Formats: sequence, C-alpha cells, structure tokens
Amino acid sequence: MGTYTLRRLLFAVPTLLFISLVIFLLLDLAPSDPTANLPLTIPPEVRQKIRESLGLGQPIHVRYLLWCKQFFINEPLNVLEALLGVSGDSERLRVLSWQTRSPVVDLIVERLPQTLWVVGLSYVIGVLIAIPIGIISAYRQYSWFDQIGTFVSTVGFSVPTFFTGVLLIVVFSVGLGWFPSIYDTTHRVTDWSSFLVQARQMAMPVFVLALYNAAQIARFMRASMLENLGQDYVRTARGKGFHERRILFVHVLRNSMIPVVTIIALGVPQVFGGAIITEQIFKVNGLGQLLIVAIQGGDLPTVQTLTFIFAGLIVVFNLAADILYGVLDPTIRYDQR
Amino acid sequence: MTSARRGAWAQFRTHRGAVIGAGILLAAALAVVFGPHLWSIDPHFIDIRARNQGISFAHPLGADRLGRDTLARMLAGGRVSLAVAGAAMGLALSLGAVVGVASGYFRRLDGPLMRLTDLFLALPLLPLLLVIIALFHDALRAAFGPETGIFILIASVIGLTSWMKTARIVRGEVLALKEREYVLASGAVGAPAGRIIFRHILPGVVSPIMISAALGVGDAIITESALSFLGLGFPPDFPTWGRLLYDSTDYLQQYPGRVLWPGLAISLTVLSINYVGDGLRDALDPRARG
Repeated sequence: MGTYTLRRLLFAVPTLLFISLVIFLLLDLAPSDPTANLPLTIPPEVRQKIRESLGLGQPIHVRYLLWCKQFFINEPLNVLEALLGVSGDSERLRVLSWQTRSPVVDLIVERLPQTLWVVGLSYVIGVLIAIPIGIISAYRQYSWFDQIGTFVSTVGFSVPTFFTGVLLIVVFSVGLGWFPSIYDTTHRVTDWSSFLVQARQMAMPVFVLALYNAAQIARFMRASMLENLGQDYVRTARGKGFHERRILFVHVLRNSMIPVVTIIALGVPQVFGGAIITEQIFKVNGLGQLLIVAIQGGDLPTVQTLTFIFAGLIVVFNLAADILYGVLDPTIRYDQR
Repeated sequence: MTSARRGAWAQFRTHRGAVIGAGILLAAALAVVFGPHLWSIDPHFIDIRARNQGISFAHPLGADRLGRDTLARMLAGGRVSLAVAGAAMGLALSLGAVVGVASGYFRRLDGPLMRLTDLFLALPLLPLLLVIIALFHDALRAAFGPETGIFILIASVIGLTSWMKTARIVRGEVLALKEREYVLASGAVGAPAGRIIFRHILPGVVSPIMISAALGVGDAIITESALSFLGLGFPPDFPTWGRLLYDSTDYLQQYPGRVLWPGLAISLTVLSINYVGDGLRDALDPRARG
C-alpha cells in the first residue's frame, strides 16, 4: 500500500504540471485581447505599452515558467509566512489579476468561504439524505418506498440545477416570499436573529445542490446494497440465525459502503464545478462567480489560476478515492503486479 | 430481426419508464422537426402589441418581452438544442469508440491512450468549456457566421470533452472479446487486424456504445443549456431551450410562469432519455438484468 501511494503521489506531480501547461497554452492560443475592453480613444502605442506592462511582451515559455514560479513557489511561501507570523520578502512577485490588479490568491481567499459554506453544506446534507434512502430502497426493493425513491432520484439528477433553482425562486421567493432570492455576502452572523437570516438565505441554494447530489449518491448506494444483498455470505449469515438488523448494518452495509465512499470522494471536485451554475442563479459571489466574471473580462491570470485549482482538486480527490478504496477493501492489492 | 434483437426488444418493452420515455422523446423529436411547419409563426417575428401577453388563442404559450411567440421559439429552440446534443454525442461516441477499440485491441497503444483518457478525466470540464467558448467565440463567429460558428464550437467542444467514459467501457469490452475463441480463430487463419475489428469486435461492442449514446445525449443537452444559461452559449436572438430559460429569468419577478416551458422541456427530455438509457441497459446487458 505504501509504495502504491508513493507512486501515485509521484505521478500526480507531472500530471498537475501537464494540466497547468495545457490550460496555459489554451488560454494563450485563444484570440483574445486584454485591452479590447478599454476605450477606443487610447492610441495604439499606449495600448502596446499596457500589454507589455501586463507581461504580454515576453515569449510564451518565459510567461509560463513565471506563472509556475509565482503559483508553486511564491504563493506557498507567502502562506507559510502568514502562518508562522514572520514578515519575509515583500518584493516577491505574485500572480496579479488584470482586472483588479490585486493578487489572484487574495481574491480566491476572499471568495472561498461563501463557496465552501454553500457547496460543502449541500454536499454533506446530500450524503446524509442519500445513504438511508439507498439502504431502505435496496432492502425493500420494489416496495412503494423504493418506487418513489427511485423515481425522485431519477428526476433529481435529470432536472438541471438551473431549473430547480429558478423554480424554487418562483415558488418560495416570488410566490410565498419566504426566502430571499439573492445571497447577501456582507451579512454577518452575530446573534440568533442574524443567524436565522443567514440560514434563510442559504436554504434554497443548499437545497438545490443537496437534491442533485443526493439523487446521484442514492442510486449508487441502492445498486451497491442490492449487489451485496444477493451474495452468499448474506444467506450464510441468515442461516446462522443472526439478527436481521445486524446482517443489514454490519455485514451488508460495510461492504456496500466501499464503492460509495469512493464515489463520494470523486464527487467533491464535480460539486465545485457544478456550483458555478448554482452560484450564478442565487447570486452567491463565490469562486464560480469569480471565474465567470474573469472569463467575461478576459482576465487570463485569474482564469488560469482558478481553472488550475479546479483541476488540482480533481487530481487530489481521485488520488484520495484510489487510496481509500485500497484501505477499505483489503482484497484489493495494488502492489502485487 | 434476429432472435437476440427480438429478445432485447421484448425486455425493453417490459420497462414501463423506458417505453414512456421513448414515447415522449419521439414526440419531442417529431414536434421540433415538423412543428415549425405546422405552427408557421416566425420565431423572430416581433409583434409589439402582443408583448408580455399571457396564454391566448393566438399565442398558446404566450409571448415574450418583444411579442415573439413562445411556442414558435420553443420549437425552434428545441431543434437547435437537440441538434447540438445529437452532433456532440455523435462526435463523442466516434472518438470514444476509436480510442476504446484501439487501446483495447493494440496493446502498444493501450498505455498512452489510457493515460490520455485519465488526463481528460482530470480536466475541470465546465470551467474549461466556459473558457474555450468565451475565448474562441469571436474567431469562429467571424469564420462561419454567428449561428453556424457557435453551433460548430459548442457541439465540438462538448463532444471533445465527453468521450472518456465511452472509451473506457469499450476498451473493457474489447479486452474481453479479444480473447474469445472465434476472434482468436479468425486471427489464426490470417485475417488482418482491420477485418477482425470490423467483423468481430465492433458488432460485439454495439450494446455498450448504444447505452452510453443514450446517456450522452442527456448530458449534452444539460451541458448546452447550462452554457446558454450562463450567457456563454448562442447569441441572444437565437433561441435554444437554455437561452430561453436564461432570458426568462430576468423577468422572474413579473412573469414567473415564463421560465416554466423551456425548463420543463429540458427536464422532460433529459428524464426520458435517462429512462430510455436504463431500459436499454436492462435490455442489452444480460448481466444487469435483475
């Protein structure tokens, strides 16, 4: 297991570098001009100066290596210094956003809490709903609970979040006026009543994402439970006269959770990507909204860094899922090859 | 019809959801293909006196803020949405099948092609799609005109980023088929690789390809609508279901009913496709039959 983990970790480094290069080349090849949105009265030579001040005059490999140095060396050093409380080299170059001229990492740190709260909470709730539904659906296969559960979960992942979200706004904020349709990021939770306001504005985005995630995980949970319920060891356990509850929750559940846990781990980065849409519907100014604004403004350093972070999340969680699979299921041996 | 196919059809018919889904899909396809001929109002025609009108005899689904007929726009939009999804799925399937067969059949290609697949799976697709479309929007627009250019861009970008699952499934099937006696026998009598692939391997992988085709169309419809919904899809005057939904969200407070039609169309189509996919899997994959 140890050597396998080490090998995978070592393989992740070139993968990440390659992905960052792909994203960089893609952005660079694109025919877009960061000065295109500036007023037309700016003379061409000034325009050229602006481009050079953004670092566009240099050859492509220099710019790529500069981004790598700024992102992989300078930013971690800054974080380290902030953690240790030492003030180090303040002249260190950072990845700057073209739109705001502030460091991209600071922008991301500013936006991260909103995304984490909404997305993270919805994923946790989704998993907590999905697992019991999957268990009951599988145990009472073809019962009315299973029929309804399967139908709801098929609907849940067929109906896109941008329709459920809009529908919820129509019903609960336009029609009934229970929840606000716009997420207020400046709201601070100080006491009980402000906490209630926060809970109310988070209710709809969290519900939309939680439904979507729960639908997918419940299907996997049900399929995995069904597969295990038909196994011989279940019949053996019943034959031995174990209590049904023990068979279900100890024998079957533990084995069924193995693939589901990896699915849950694999789903985390997807959720961040999917949150782009939900954030747009409810006007949450999180990471997804930052990406959309950066794309619209042609702010390539921000787009590059954010896209790379999304890619990094996928690689890290894939790795985590593979390692978890090996830890949870002892019959899988990656080393014997 | 061979008996195997008849068996699959009989199995498919027992899946009630799949049959209803197939019916709805067929109806949707017929409506968007023949509908614009029957309901002959031009979706771009602006009748300013009918603006923001509700449901009426002249406009069965109402009219939008410029008085354009919603039914006509829904039909025209459905045509584009389904065409984009179909084209994207076709591209994804061919790519996936080629990569899957090549890496399953030729051992030397297996490593590099599977690494490539892993790499594509590690790309953050939605952010990348947004970036690609935003950046190459203008170039393709200039080259092929506003509508064809965006159509080519969106269909090919969705196709190029969704072939990986098909490739993996096909590779697995090919690896198993390759060792079967009839394939080995065919190789032993000297059949070239090309003929073995076309005569013996490809017919065996048709079922997994069909199942992933069904699920792929649903994903493609959602992706296209999501792009339009984020304002990065087709131009505003060019209706697709996603674009119609996006345009109506601006009038959510005044005319909340208007988001219903495009949203329902997308959801119902994708729901039907998913049910058909489930039914196909039950019918074509004997191991999955419960």
